Amino acid sequence: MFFRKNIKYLVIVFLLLLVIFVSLRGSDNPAKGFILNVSSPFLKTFRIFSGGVSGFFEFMGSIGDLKSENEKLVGDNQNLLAQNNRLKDAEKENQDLRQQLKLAPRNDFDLEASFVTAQDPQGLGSYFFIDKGENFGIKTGMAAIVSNGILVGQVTESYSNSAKVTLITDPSSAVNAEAQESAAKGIVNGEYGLGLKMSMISQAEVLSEGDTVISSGLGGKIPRGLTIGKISQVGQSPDKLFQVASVVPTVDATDLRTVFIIKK
Amino acid sequence: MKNLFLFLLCSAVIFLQFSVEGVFFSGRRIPDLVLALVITLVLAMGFKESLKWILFMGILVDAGSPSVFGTVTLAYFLIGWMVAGLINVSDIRSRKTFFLAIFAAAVLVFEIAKDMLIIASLNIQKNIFREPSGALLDIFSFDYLLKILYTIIAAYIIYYVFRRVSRSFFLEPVKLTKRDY
Repeated sequence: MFFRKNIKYLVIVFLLLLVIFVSLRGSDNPAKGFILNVSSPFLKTFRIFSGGVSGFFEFMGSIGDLKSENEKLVGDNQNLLAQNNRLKDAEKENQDLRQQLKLAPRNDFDLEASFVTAQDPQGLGSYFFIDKGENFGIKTGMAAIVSNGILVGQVTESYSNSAKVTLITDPSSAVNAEAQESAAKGIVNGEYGLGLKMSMISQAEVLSEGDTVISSGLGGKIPRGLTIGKISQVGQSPDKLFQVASVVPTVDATDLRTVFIIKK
Repeated sequence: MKNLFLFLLCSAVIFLQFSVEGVFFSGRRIPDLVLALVITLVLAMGFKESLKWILFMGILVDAGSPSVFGTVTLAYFLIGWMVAGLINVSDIRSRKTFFLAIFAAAVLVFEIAKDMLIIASLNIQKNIFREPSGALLDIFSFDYLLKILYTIIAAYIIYYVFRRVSRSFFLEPVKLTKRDY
């Protein structure tokens, strides 16, 4: 009786289970790419508009803090001016030394500025979508950074006018990294959006809290020297063969508006 | 007119879910407006009438979710079916307080069930088919509690707005019968 009455619904359940079974094998889903390409301009418009509304409310809420913030910014500005002068000297010295050592200057990245159009609608994963894809030369594996060379993720799916960037805090993400101060190498993995863990660090290395973790460039996909975060805690792996370190990401990647994709 | 209204409503909710909510809520606290609308549609129009809109929204959400394609659609479909079953065994709209409590409980249970189905599909993908996947479900975390709370509040708002607006657009109120389910 139940089956006869609900045959239409049971067929739908069966078809959906079939779709899930096919998708489980990780096969590319053309429907997914099509939907994302069609919806990308709308998502972008909604995002820009809501960003404006959110910014307005943030501004209204922050009026009371403007005076103290302004005083702080004046102080920061003075410090930065002094620091800027010191860095100009250092840059000049760096150029001279590079010339003397016949080192090539650091390559500038070929960057593609992209707008974040959407985030994970379920709030379970750690990724976002951007408004550019294969038509702009964006391919899977490319690194996504924010303005000053801070690594936020990697392109994991690319469609013609849209791409998915998986954050470094996602558990499926793995980045070859090293500690800037000690040159200790390891692999940085995400911990379900809660932070980062650097593992496979040799016992011979000396790590300290506060050390900066950067990408090591090993593997070739992600360039060397991109900032990942700072070490907050150092410990041992369960088998005591390696050291592990908790790393605090430099940026909160859940609140990004624009990112840059490193094409070369 | 009715179909156009429902199309615009479903599209607006999808865009809010994907694009706008992330600006106002942190990642793990994003309320599930689509679930709220699925329950609302079934309560207001019946499962049969809501079916195409549930599938439409499910497929769109599936396209941008970390889940295995089809899982979210299946979850929303089953939720819609179960809500219709709930109406069939008891007229939950008979008393206001009772309805509010049942409505909140339904959102709570179905949200957790849906997320568990998504996580289960990802674990199957990871452990059996060795495909990389990653998502976290911690139903005892503060973030998840807020997500549920926001979803319940959103569900109330969507339900009452929908009822008010549908009276103007649909001309005649839809009466549920056992045949609907």
